[in-house]
Amino acid sequence: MGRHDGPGIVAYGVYFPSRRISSDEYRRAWGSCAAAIKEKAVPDFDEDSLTMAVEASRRALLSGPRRDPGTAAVLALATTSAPYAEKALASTVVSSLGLPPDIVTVECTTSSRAGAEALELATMVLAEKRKPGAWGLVAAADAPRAAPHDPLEHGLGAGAVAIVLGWEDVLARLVGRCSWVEESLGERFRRAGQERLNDMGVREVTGSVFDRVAGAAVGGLLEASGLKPADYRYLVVPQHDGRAGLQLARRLGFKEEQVRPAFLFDRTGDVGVCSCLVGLAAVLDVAAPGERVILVAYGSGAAASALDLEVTAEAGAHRRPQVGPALDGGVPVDYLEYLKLRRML
Amino acid sequence: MPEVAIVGAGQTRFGDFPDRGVKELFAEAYQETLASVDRGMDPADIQAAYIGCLSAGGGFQLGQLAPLLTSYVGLPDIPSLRVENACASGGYALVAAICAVASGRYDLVLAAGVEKMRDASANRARYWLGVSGDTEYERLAGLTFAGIYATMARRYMEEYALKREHLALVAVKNHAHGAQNPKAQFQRQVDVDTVLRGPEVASPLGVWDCCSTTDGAACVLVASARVARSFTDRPVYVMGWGAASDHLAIHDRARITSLRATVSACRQAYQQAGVGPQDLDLAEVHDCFTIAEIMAYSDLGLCEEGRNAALLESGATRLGGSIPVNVSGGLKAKGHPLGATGIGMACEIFWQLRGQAELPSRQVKDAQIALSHNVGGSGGSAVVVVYRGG
Amino acid sequence: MGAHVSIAMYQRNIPLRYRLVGQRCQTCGGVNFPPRAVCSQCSKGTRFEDIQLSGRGVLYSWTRIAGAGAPSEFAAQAQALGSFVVGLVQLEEGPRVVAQIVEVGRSAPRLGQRVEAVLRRIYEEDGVIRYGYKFRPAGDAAPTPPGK
Ligand SMILES: [Zn+2]
Repeated sequence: MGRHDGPGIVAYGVYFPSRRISSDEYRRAWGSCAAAIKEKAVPDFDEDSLTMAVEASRRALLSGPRRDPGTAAVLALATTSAPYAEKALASTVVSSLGLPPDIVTVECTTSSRAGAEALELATMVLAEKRKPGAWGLVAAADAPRAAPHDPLEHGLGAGAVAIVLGWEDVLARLVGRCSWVEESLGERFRRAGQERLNDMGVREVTGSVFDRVAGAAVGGLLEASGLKPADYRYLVVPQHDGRAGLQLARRLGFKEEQVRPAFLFDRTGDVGVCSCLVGLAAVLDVAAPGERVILVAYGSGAAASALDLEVTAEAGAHRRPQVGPALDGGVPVDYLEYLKLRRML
Repeated sequence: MPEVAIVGAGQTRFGDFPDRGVKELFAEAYQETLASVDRGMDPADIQAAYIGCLSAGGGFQLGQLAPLLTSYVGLPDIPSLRVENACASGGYALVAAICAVASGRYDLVLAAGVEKMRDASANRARYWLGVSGDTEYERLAGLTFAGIYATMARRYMEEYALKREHLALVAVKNHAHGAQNPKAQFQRQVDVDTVLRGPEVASPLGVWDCCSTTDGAACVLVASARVARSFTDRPVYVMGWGAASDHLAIHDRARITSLRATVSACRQAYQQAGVGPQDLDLAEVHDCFTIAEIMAYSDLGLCEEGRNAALLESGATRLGGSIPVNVSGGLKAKGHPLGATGIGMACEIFWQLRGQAELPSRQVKDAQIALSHNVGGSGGSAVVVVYRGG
Repeated sequence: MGAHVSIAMYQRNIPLRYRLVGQRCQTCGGVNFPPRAVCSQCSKGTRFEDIQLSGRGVLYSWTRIAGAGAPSEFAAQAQALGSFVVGLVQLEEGPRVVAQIVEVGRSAPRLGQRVEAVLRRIYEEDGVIRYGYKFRPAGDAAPTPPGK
């Protein structure tokens, strides 16, 4: 692939709210913690997916070359925890960042695959706008919710990732993709009007669907690229729990060192639509020119997207890691404070 | 030669009156005012009324409250007007009455203030206080009335090395004064420790730094100097008055350690009166929060800027000091029925300048000249009046 | 019961609320925020152009509002947090602005401390979320502009 074949990632930003709850707090409250986390970020009382998306976007815009927000061509927003079930969501982000009103907007909202969907769709829109300086923004933010007594809740985190796409100064280019969809019932869902996630909780069934659908997307991608797992330096797997993604990678023939750099579940928890994009950001924080990356995103119900990325010579030129600084530090809260902050009490 | 005098005054005790509404409170103060006129007076001689009230009786009569009240006490025909400028509603009602008389149109005007806060649920009472700040940019950023003064206090402490204890001293002093005033809501002393240990409301201000918004009514009869002596041998003359405004929102003000509206109103009042702060025998000062009294010391010229804490520490502003401030107990101990507060100050001064304090121990000796200072909200409006005993 | 700012009134101010758009006076060049009919700097100018403020400033003063004393619009927030901090921020461009200060934890903010604007939910009325600016300490975690 040549240098100017298509738009790619030119900058990115990561945001985690400043408060942290540790798994010890869950053990104190419930006797055990059902998620393999050390800690996870807790949104402030006045934060939601839109405010977090704006924060990550501001960070992404600051991390790359200066650009006028008024010239953006596309905004793709992803979340499963939108503050409104009906109302344009992108408008809040557009107004907050000063993006132009005639911008193309995309809102991907119904499954945790939405982060990857937003990245794909924004890239496609931008690919059409072949004019110098054209750029776009992907903003993914999530803070999924479940009932406090549901073990599923233990792993649910909060965070946001934003990616600036452009034609020049590209750090990583999207060179291929493969999508796979299969009807699956009872796996992580919310009926219309519900705020909290449900899951039938039969891991054997949902696990096999995950394996099959996510595996098919990666398999299709490898078939299209004609490469083997060993030809990729990194595999970014879905991180909605601490195991499934790692097991999938093993089964597909990827090694631990290809998966680990992007696997942050123990520090982030399940950040919904951001889960794969946080992993991608962690890879971009360290990747070297020429390296190939597969990102696979998964949404219950079930849908998977596998994206094939190639890191360019630009990577590392002005590197300022995003994930580490966003995760480090944090103010601990106890379980009671957590329930109040998340409006569960 | 003064054109205007006060010839009668009456005030309910300030406080919690579950058995009386806004009409009954107003009537009580009005009746006491009529009874206070030394040579008596025919109510039919009253030609107009200005009634300060913020909440219109907790929102129950937003339109035409004043005619409602004046007809309730048997004055159905006179022009009657509600005056609103938040906590300075009473002060502005007084100035309106003074101006009406000074214009030559009227010889006898009722200036009144009334407020009924304690019927309201806690939430509704908070609502009425909150409406006096800048709604868009202060209240709806989460800043309370106490929070605005707390923000001033923090800045003042930084700029002038004011200590938390100084704020407490204001509360201690005014509660000591209030303990002797039968018309005060709180008639007990507090010590510095109690004030400092009180629960925080808006740091650095605690509950003892805040006045209590409460119920009450007050009236004064404002007469032309020409007719004043037909009512009494001892009228209290209005020597000068001033009123001024400022940005409501503290973020629009160049400084937040001084109230510009106070400084400006005060300059007008001294100039017209031909006196200065050194001539005052007492002052009733708007101490809605302890920091407000400290800031007022220099705004009113009682001391140089920055010498405020020293003036307080010297004891000069205590009863018996060189310039007693808030011998009534102030808003802090006497209570703060918003619209009634400014008129209540005039009542206190009327009694003090006539040597009529209920207890000799709370009478300022040989008081001749006094000042009242009434502030709206956090300084968006202010009134200063200078008086002389007759 | 709350002090009422209508949805329409709030909406007219969205650029100001969401991203701190101020006014530059065409007479004296001074910056007004929030907007004015007559310039607050020169008391003459009546023509302005929009200016995007940086959102950077320092803490001029602050207070911590105790939970029980919060205005009714902020009662739920105060209950969840126990208390919250409201500051008076001196913006880099000159104007001061009242806003909540977030992410201060239980420590006391310092006067003169650097702060930066963030978008947060301010309060809700009639089921509608009102977003707007708050500020947080400008710490090391915050990104700095690239060196290139
Ligand atoms: Zn100007």
